[in-house]
Amino acid sequence: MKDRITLTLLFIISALVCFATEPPASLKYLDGYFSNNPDASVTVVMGKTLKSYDLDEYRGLTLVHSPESAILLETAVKKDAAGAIDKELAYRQGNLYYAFLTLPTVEDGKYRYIFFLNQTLAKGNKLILIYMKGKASADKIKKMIKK
Amino acid sequence: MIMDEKHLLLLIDKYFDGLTDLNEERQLREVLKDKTLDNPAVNELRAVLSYVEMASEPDDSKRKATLTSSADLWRKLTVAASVIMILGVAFTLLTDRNQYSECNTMIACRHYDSPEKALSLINSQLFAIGAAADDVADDIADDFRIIGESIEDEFTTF
Repeated sequence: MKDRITLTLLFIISALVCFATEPPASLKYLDGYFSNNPDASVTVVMGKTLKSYDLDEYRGLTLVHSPESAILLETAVKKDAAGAIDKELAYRQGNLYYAFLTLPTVEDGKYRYIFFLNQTLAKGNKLILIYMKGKASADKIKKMIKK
Repeated sequence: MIMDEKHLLLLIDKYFDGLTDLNEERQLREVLKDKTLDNPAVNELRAVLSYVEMASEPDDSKRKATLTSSADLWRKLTVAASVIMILGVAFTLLTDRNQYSECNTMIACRHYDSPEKALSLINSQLFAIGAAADDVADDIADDFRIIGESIEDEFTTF
């Protein structure tokens, strides 16, 4: 009986850990989804290169002349926004133009951030999606983008 | 040990008087194993001794059970601690991958692994995001200014 309780507890704890670290929906598009798209620029940086930024991971996607992909990215970002602990969302012409999300922390209090920009709703032609993970605070990230 | 009946009865009396030593009590137990002995005094002693033994037995079994359950608990705790330690080591090893630097950049289906290329793209992305964040801040400021002006106009009309 005690063995069963112990096993059940271990199972519950494992399940909770798995759910707690569920990756954001936007990450799907930053992990090889657009690798074969000639209009895409994808960058994945991890480790020492990002140490000065207090980040462990940076994933960025830039799509040019691809307004049709905007809806894919917008849907994923909105899904992540629903679970975000802090968010800044700006809409233009009824579509998501800009988003800055702070997701719940994982792994020893590391922060996760998502940026989204749909320039096609303004004067540009780019769609940008960025995911960052690390110890950098939201203020530090904001200072970083305003350099 | 074979004992005559008279000596046995004397020993039984001595037992009930509480005067027997350990050796004599051991002798009595040996004699009582002989099931053919059928005497009221012998039967009485047999009943008393079996009761005493029965009464003392549960204590031993309880102690054994306690020792067993505590040994089981320690065994389970050891297993649980080992599992947690293994998971911890695995987790640390997996997360330590980040100690190594990795820069992968794909531009128009071409792969680059230089940090300079990655940082250049990061700077361009962050610059665009920064400009958009400023635009959004300006929009908010404009909204506040328009609201402020509308309120002012309203009060001026009054």
